[in-house]
Amino acid sequence: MKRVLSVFLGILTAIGGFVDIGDLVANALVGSRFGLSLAWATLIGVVGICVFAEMSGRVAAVTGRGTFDLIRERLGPRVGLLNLTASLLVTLLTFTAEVGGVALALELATSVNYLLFVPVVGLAVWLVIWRVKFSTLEDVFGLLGLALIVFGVALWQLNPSWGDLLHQIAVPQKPADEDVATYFYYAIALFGAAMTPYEVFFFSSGGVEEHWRTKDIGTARANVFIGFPLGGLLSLAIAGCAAVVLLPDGIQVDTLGQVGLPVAVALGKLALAVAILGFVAATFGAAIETGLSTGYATAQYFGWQWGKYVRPRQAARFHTVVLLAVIAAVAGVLTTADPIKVTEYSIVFSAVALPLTYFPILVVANDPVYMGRHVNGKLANGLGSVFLVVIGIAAVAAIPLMLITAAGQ
Amino acid sequence: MTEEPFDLRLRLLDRQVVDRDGGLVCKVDDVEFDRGPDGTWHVVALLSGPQALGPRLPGRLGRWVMAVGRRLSLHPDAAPRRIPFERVTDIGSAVSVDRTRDQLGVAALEDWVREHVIDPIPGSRHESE
Amino acid sequence: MTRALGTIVAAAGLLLGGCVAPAPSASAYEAKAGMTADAAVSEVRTALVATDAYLLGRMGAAYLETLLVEAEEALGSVHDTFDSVQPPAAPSADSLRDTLDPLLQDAGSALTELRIAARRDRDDDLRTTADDLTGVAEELEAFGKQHAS
Repeated sequence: MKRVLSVFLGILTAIGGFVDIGDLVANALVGSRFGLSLAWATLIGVVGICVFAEMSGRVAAVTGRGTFDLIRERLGPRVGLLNLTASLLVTLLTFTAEVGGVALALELATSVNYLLFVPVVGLAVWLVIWRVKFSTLEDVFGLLGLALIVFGVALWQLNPSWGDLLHQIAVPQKPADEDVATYFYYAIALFGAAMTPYEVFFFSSGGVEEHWRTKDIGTARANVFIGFPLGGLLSLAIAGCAAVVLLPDGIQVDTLGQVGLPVAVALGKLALAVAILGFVAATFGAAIETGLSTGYATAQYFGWQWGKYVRPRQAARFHTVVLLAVIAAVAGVLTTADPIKVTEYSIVFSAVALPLTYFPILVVANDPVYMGRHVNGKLANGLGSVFLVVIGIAAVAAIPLMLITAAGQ
Repeated sequence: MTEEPFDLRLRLLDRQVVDRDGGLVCKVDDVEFDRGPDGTWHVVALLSGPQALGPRLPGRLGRWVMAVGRRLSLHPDAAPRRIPFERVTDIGSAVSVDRTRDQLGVAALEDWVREHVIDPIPGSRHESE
Repeated sequence: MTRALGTIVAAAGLLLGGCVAPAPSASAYEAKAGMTADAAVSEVRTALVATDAYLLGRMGAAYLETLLVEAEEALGSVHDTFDSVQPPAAPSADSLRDTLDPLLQDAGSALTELRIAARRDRDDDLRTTADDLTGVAEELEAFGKQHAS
């Protein structure tokens, strides 16, 4: 019984923890401009993250080591360093976006200017990373993130033409008033939002933090294969709400407030408060994950002791990197750059960095020396290879499309 | 002793070094050889740190890493940190050694950072709750 | 390697430079005007939907204020960007400006009034300003459709 409950908790945490500021912004923005005609990109992205998260979780359970540790071993210090640099830059940018997201959500709750919250948010993120046990922070923010289910309820309440919505998903058609380049630019943005690099290091390092062994592979798989797709469904609900409420009025999402507007229209004040709670939980949780990921990646490359499973003074360099990352993220938001724009750039650059971060995972998960009999089967390899091609194309097309469409204008 | 050739690059280099208690020590950034009395080359030590890793990184980057290592080094010499090969007890997916981290003395930066950055912060000695 | 990088940067610079250069042709200016109107509609309608939700008791004051402040700032920025574009020397361009500028002006002041009324808890003022703004929104929307690229 206890085991069933723990698996259930893990799945719920995975659902609630799936959405971050990138998913919130990208899905609402796309819904408000393209309806559900780009839902296929979110769906493909969800499948992609499932495939690679499962691999990296399995690697952690079997080897007891984190992804970066093994990337350097398998591919050498040069490729490892390239990987580390690219991943760190993108993760730092994402961290900045998440901290900005928390501040924006708090502004919506209080109408106090978001910049005033930023140092407090930074301190809170660091404090939680410093003191709170790993499993506690996963559980708390994952469960609180379930508040975003309110978007599903709102969509239900809005009573749209479900047949029409399903048709938009199944038979995607670019809207007449948007051009092809913009359409595919946002498809890439949705990939980047669903398949963020940090998610994979975090998941594998988290597996080591929680001392997964091979017997935990089943639980990890349940989290990934049930939790992530349901989380993806939340993303689609956010897009759906925007499509039903904002698109007909010509409202294009460029603020966090507009993301929540459909919930107010459909369900009212209380539901809107729940949505804000969901925003805070999702972005704060993701801020913790990205902050920790900067530490994980750096420490694992250089062989330093890392992790929250040891006392902070036993992983001094790891905690210092995290502290520096928090300071950098806070500074980044305090430049008063629009956090929504920062978010958009972070997901596009995530898409660019994806092949560099995902390819080594496929290599390691395929290596029988590390994985023994838990090495990738045909399905994992097949899907993994297909996805590498897809994200390769997306990575190459991302920057040119960004320039051509002036970042989606 | 097995007669199979042991691929140093594949199975020793860039591996994680793990101490007697399972703690993470460093990476095998480089390997030191010496010539024995019979003329054959043997691995005598594992090397780690920026001075060891630097030469393995290309061009200017590698030189910069080594310069950083010299700058940050608390020792008068500029040699990389060294673990004698006699300390190694096992080479599996990680390299196990028979001492604890503190006894090995290869992580000067960790000690410095711990002393000056982490220890002053309250809660650094406690487990997370 | 550095040569290729230099070419890419130069190309990027040219592409981005094209975004801020003065509108060279009448049709490009018209497209720009249309896009400006669409962006304005987005901000205005956001304010209207939010105000409506607030007046129906479906949204809190803090959320409304935040949305209104953001819409007001965004509209101001859209208006400024449009005004900073040099119109080509054609009568069609001048007539576009003469139609669009007053609409943007009206929208901007209405959003300011909404923001003030929201902060002062003046629900009646919100209602009347919102009613006026609805008409402006429709005109902007029609303009945007008429001059769509």
